[in-house]
Amino acid sequence: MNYGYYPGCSAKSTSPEFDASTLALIDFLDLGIKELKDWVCCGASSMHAVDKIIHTSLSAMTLDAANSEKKDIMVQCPACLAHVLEAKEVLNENGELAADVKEAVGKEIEAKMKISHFSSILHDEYGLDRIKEKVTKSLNALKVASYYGCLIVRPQELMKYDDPENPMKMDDLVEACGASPVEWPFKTKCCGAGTAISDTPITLDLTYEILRMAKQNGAECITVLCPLCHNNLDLRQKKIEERYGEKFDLPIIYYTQLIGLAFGLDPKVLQLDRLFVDPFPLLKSKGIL
Amino acid sequence: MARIGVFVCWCGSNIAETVNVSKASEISGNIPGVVYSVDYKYMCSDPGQTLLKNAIKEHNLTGAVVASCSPRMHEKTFRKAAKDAGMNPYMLEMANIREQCSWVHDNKDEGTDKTIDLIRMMVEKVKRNHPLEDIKIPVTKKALVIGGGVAGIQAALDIAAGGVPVVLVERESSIGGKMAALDETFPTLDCSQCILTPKMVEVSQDPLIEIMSFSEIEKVEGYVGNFKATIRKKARYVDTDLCTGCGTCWLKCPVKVTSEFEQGLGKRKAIYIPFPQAIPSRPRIDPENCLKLTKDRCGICQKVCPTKAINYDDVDRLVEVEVGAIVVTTGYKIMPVSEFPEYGGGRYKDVVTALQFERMVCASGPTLGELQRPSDGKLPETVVFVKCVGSRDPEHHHSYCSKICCMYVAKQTMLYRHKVHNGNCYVFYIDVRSNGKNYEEFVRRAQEKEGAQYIRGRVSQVYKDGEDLVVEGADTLTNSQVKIKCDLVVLATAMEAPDGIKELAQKLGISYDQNGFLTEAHPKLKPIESSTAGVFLAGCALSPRDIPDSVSEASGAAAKVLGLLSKDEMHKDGVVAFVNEATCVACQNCIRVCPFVAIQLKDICNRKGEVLRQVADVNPGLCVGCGTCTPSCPSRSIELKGFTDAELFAEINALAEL
Ligand SMILES: Cc1cc2nc3c(=O)[nH]c(=O)nc-3n(C[C@H](O)[C@H](O)[C@H](O)COP(=O)(O)OP(=O)(O)OC[C@H]3O[C@@H](n4cnc5c(N)ncnc54)[C@H](O)[C@@H]3O)c2cc1C
Ligand code: SF4
Ligand code: SF4
Repeated sequence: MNYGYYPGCSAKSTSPEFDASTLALIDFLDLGIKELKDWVCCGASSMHAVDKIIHTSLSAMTLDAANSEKKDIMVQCPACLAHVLEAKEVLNENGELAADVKEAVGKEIEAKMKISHFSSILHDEYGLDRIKEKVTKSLNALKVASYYGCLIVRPQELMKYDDPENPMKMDDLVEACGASPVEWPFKTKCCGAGTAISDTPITLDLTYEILRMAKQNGAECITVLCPLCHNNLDLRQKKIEERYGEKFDLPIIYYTQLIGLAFGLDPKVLQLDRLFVDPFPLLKSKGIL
Repeated sequence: MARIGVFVCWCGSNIAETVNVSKASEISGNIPGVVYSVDYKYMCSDPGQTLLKNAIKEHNLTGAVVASCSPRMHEKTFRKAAKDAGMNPYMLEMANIREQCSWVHDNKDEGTDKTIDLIRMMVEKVKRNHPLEDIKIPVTKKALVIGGGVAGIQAALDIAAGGVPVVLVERESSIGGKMAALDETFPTLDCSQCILTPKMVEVSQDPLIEIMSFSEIEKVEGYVGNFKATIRKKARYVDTDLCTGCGTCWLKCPVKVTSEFEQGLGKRKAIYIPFPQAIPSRPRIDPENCLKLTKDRCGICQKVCPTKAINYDDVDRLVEVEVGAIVVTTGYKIMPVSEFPEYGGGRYKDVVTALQFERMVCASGPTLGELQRPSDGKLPETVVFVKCVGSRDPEHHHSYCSKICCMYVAKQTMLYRHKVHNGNCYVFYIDVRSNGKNYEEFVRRAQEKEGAQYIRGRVSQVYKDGEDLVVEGADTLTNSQVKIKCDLVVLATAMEAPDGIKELAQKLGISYDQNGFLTEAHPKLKPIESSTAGVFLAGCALSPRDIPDSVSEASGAAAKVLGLLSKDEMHKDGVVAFVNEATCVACQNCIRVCPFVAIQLKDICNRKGEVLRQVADVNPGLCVGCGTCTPSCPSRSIELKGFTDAELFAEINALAEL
């Protein structure tokens, strides 16, 4: 394993708990992954709609940052992942856009490195068996709905993450930690993503359906791997409940936080107290804390 | 001395506009060996042909060059005319001055020069041509039909009606194909069984038709008129001669398994006939589930069989049949719902294929026509049909249209509403393709009179919300998203080439397309011929089709077979490869490259019958004159009659004016 960590800007702003729990796992499992020094914001949800060249150049600069440290890239945010994968593809295809990007960045950039999502690294490279061995505090059959969101699996040709209709990686990971994954149909339904800002009611409608479906299928909490999904489900859960007159009380917990709990890490270190929907009553009632 | 005539055709203005035909004819007259040249408006017309015939006779021509269109178009016409006038037809050649000259150029001077070059080339070739004879092949007056669906049944019946014996090979234990599983059929809603079973009985009673059910093609050798097919009669564990089809065995058999014929919705026994009207009405034992054959227990069927027809020691047997022609009618299969997880396929029992729906409403189906959804037997009050599932979807599955789903979905909405008068039924569609006789009217009836609600758009997801299935999709006409709660989802999944089709095609030496459907020799003019002479195609083996199309093609193929087998011997083009045995070193290059397996080694023996050496030997019956072998020979020992090195080099030299 020779990864450098590309946290992305969400991890450094709206979702520090994702960043903290990720670093805690890296440290605990002794993966030797360090944050890349010169990573650049990927342009998030807006740049790719505005200017293709600038958009691709931003991610190309992150690739360059990895090259200068001779590292592969580990990503957590699915949007960042999509964008660096796309930049890698553009550079390797070496067409007109690649030439523009080289000009914009001002240099040749090799794009040979491996780019993986952290959950894939844990699932495929570190391995479920070794994770199981490290579990000291079982998640005690906690019923978890894994919610992957729309981005990590699509487009399949680019992301190559998992079965785009029924991904299982997070389910497998939390199961290895003793939880009981919930079988439900909305694993990859869109949460509304950035429309939360431009047209909130649309997001509220979509996230309502996700919460309702998770609850209906018996979930006690939802685990996520995308900061934007997390925001829409966690931060706005109260609003959703008000709008629909329905109480969900479904903690939205990053998968890194759940795994960290199973490894017996301190909830403070995992920053579980930063979640808007309080997870502690549930975790306590389940005997996890 | 060669006496050659040159005939330059105007093809109306097609050639004459870009080629100075009179100049071309005049200059051709000066080529050494040419004793007559002329230009004429339409050489292929009756007067044109008469001109050719008269010139051959009057000028005692030994050869002729017709400069006109492609030989693909009219070589046969002119060679026949030459023959009628007493000339060996192979002494006539065509110079293609239309497709290869006038149609692709626009400068008349250059066109004329090129025309003269082309004529000179052919004149030089004709000078070196040898008279060739057509090859005569005896024919076996018997036909083989592979696949016993409605197409195979029709082909067998029509061939037998012409007095020619037929072997009908079907790999399942009964003939009937998919049609046997359908309920009522569009566009007239007559019951499929009622129109098919009489035909199946007719097949079984026709003394000229031999049904080999539960059998497959092992090997096919030979060529048009003279095929030898080896057929594997798979072990059935029931002696079909002794068995009377009384049914005692399958009544008593204790093992129940899922029925393939019922599309997984019903049960059958380990010894079974797939459906009550099966032909032959003889059971077979399914060795994977029979207690006797798996665990050496039970043995009930043998005990109860009144005619001692059960034989647990049965084995596969190979039989050989000699036939003159083959019809391939191997039909199709449909994609299973499990290929569509986004539509809940494989996850929810109430997401079914259209073929399953046929069984669910069919009076002879597992519920005797009482519509029940598979999960809990509830009568579905709302049904959603989704069309183009796997078809017209090049990103994920097939780019082709399965052609008949529009029609059977319209039919199934009617069948549904006839069972559930107040039921709601919705159809998601991309287009409605109803281009057959009375088809558009039929779809209109479903929409306007029978209450089917059509929504134009694709479905994104099917999921379960509590007890209900929910279909989410787009309505592109109102530009809105739709969500429909329903009890049953029917997916009109794509029709695909059946399993094993590629292997069969390889055995037969016929070609298939990227989707595995068999390829016709010409998409318009030879739609039921395969690329191999004597092998014909019909029905869904070619691509998705409905019953009327399958049946008409089957009758067409039967007519072709009867035409072919009507003569005692067949005449075949004389253009075949031949070997110079004196120089052949038996390296076998040609044998390896021949795509038609037309070349073998033969022994050269002395008078005492001792083998001296071996040489390559061409079977003129199999050779199609493709010429693949000739360049492979290191000693230039194999050549193609009508296209020898001497003839071809003469053409090239003429062009180079050597
Ligand atoms: C749901 C549904 C509803 C339909 N409804 C209608 C309708 O209402 N009206 C209509 O006109 N059409 C309808 N059709 C279409 C109809 O089923 C076909 O047009 C028709 O069955 C084609 O007949 P076939 O003989 O070409 O193929 P098939 O019926 O598929 O028969 C092929 C036969 O060949 C056998 N076979 C395959 N491979 C081999 C092999 N290697 N060796 C030996 N045997 C082999 C198979 O076992 C089978 O018996 C419907 C189709 C579907 C899927
Ligand atoms: S021997 Fe096999 S087929 Fe016969 S009755 Fe027993 S299980 Fe059925
Ligand atoms: S390639 Fe030529 S030399 Fe070799 S076997 Fe064939 S005919 Fe004879």
